[in-house]
Amino acid sequence: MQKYLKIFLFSFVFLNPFVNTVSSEESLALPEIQWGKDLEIGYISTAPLVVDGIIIVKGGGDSNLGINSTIIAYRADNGSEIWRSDFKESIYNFEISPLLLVRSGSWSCSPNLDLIVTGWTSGSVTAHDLRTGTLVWEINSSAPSWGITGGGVEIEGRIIWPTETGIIELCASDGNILNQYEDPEIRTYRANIGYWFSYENDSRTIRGFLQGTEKGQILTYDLNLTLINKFEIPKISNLSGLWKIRSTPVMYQFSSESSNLTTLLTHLQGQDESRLVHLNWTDNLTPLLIESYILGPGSAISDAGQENFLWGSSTEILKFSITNFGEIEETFRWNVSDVTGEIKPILIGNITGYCFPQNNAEGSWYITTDIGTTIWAPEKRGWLTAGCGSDSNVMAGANDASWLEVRFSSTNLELIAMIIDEALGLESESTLNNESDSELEIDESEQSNPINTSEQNILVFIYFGFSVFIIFVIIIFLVNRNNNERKILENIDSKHIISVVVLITVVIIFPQINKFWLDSTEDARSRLITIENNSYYGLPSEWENKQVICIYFPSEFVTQNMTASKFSEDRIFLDVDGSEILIDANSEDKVNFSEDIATGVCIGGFENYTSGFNFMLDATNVVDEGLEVSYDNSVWGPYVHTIGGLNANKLTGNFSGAYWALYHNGVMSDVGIGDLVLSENSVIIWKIATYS
Amino acid sequence: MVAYHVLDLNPVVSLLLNLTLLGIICWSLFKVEKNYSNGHKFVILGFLAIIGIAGRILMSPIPNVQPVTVIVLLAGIRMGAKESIFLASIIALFSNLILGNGIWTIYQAAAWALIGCLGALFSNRLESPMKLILMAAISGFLFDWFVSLSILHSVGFDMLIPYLIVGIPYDLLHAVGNITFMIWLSNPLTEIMSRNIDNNLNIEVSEYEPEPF
Repeated sequence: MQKYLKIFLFSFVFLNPFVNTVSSEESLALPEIQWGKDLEIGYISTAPLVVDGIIIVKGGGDSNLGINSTIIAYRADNGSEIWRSDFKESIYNFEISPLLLVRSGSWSCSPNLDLIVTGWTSGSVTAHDLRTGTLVWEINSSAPSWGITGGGVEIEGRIIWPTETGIIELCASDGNILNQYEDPEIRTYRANIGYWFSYENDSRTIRGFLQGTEKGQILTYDLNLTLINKFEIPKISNLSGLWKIRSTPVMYQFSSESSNLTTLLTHLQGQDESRLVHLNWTDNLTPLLIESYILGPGSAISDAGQENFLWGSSTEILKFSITNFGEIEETFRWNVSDVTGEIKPILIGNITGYCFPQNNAEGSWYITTDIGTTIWAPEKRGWLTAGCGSDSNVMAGANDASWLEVRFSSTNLELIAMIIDEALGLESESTLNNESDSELEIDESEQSNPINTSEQNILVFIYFGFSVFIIFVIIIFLVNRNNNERKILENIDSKHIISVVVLITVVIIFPQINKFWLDSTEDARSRLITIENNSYYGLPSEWENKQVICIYFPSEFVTQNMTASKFSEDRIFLDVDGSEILIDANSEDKVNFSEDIATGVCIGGFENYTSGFNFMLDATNVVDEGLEVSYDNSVWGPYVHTIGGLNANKLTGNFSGAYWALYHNGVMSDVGIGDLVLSENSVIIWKIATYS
Repeated sequence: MVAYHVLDLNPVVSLLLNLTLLGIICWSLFKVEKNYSNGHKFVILGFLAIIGIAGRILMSPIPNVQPVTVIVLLAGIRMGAKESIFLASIIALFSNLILGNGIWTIYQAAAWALIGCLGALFSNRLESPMKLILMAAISGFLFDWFVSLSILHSVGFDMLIPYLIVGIPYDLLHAVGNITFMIWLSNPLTEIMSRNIDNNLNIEVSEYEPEPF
């Protein structure tokens, strides 16, 4: 009797603690995907803006197809288009300046209608009516090369926006230029406007604005856009070489009785690494470098006027907080992959979090909140993505395939429709109906309830579990009424209970234990692995310490009309002049990095190349009759989709997509070919990789 | 018509359902066993195999926490090496029909059989609860390391040590799970297994009267 009851009890002791693991990693349940759409407005190079259930998307157009850069607004509830504003032809076919919502208000410059403000590569700043898309005003600024690529902020109806060569302050109601600073020497690219705060007596005020430049300078302006200071950040940080600021800096003054401390934080993008630097100074003394965090290459673009203190590179995102003493401390670090777009705060119901666009092979969004983390991969994968946006009900993500994907919880459909109708000034159908009104109230109460559907499921199952348990206990008592086995709990002692508690604890904290263990043994493990990692293994010996490119063409994908067809039956080695090198058949078998893809071409013996892209184009030209390389130009550099006529995007098979993967000296390159810096002994390999 | 098969259960919910099912299986089996078993070895072995297979499959949402190691260890100690080898192979084969069959199945069967044999070998010395718990913990590591050898089919020997190092948190989880199962299962399973011993004296195993927990 006691035995089976013990086992039984044991099974159920598991029930409660596991509820907590709902909030652990990868348990974040996003609202369901409701619709996706190919917008056909070219690259969408900035995150969609979601306001009151209206999704606003900005595309760069496609001059080859005669499509102008365009802003479109969609209803989240049914995916229908509300308005479309055809702007003008974009020279670069990408429009990267973020969209900003300016609400109507009562300040002297506040508009009468809600506006969508954004900048353009032509140098224009425009304002569109949120309801109708009508162009309310447009102003121009100097655009010597790429025009406006950064994002601005709004304070009390005044809009502060970065231009390519300076900064501009506009009145939101009519677009009048209030203040302006221009310096033809400076260039800004994707450098959003940052705030200069001051903290006094626990209150925070905005003292001015900051702007980063392509030379790594930070320009500080007061509220009237008078230039106050120009800090040469790389010099102050003792860094040599080229450093750019392509993110949002933050400066804050912290005044107390004893001191007046100013802190400046900015991200610097270098050649193949980036830094987050933290400078301090008191009163009018010179800035001092306090800390310099070494990060991966590239910049993650933090929000203009960010209040979240988030910076990052393609490999990590760091979050900072200010302590009561004005000190800055790193409070969180996410290890992400290939984040180069906008890192944005998002809302899922009442839960706040962030969306990090991952420009890896999948082109997905990494969604992280306090209760969990998940990856949102769009239906159209493999495209660069700038980011995603949300209001509390609707999430939207878009990418360079001109693909927009929208999520919301179906239970909120009616609520969303009503919010949209209200925002658009339409009479909502559901408000005419009393029944729907009461349903709506239920919706709202659910909205304010932080328990999401999956947690409710769990609760249901716990109640279920407990009721089953109680039924069994009753049955056991009934069955054994006549036996002398009533002393059910007699033999269950502290040892039994402690063992279960320990087991549950270990299971719950297991992910942390495992991560800690993996992190702390990483070095030791890598020392133990002695696999053959010489990237010249199997290549002609005369290429040793020279630059080599190998392109593998799987024979099953290559057709006769492709230039790659002459390399799809064997592995060919071509020297710098295009002549074939024959190598010993035995050593050929040793090529260790291509066990599965043994057919293709290696072109080697080159020297003195530093740019991976130039090297690739020159080396493929050596091939008799050429081996053409086709690529898309994007903000993040060239994206190679076709080599020798083999277009990875068009491959089909037992996978959902394929791409040309780049390896540099045996490891998958974490930068694109356009950013790849070669050394004298670089061996680069292109091969088809697939994802399911 | 509602297609229940498309209902998406999240892992925690399915674990809860699994544990409920396991509870029902164990309860009914203990009940049935008590009524019908006259101490015949095959009935007992079948009973243990079912508990092992169901336990392993149903607890699979928690990595490396399952009752099989403890069952074969106890079978080795209380019944004998041959019986534990039979249990080890049957449980490995049938649970892997669900969990996935492969080269590792033979390693798992062998590793559990090894643990059962060690149990039989040391049955004279494993009379106290503390020693049993220690043995349960050790067999967690032993089993994992033995099964890890199967990676040598696909990678070189130099990868083995890093692979074992990576697995240590999982081994720890296995050991903690084993300790818990040993504490909970030792008395009921010993009682069932010794009923058999009373009828057919088995010279391979301990003649000590097991101490209850």
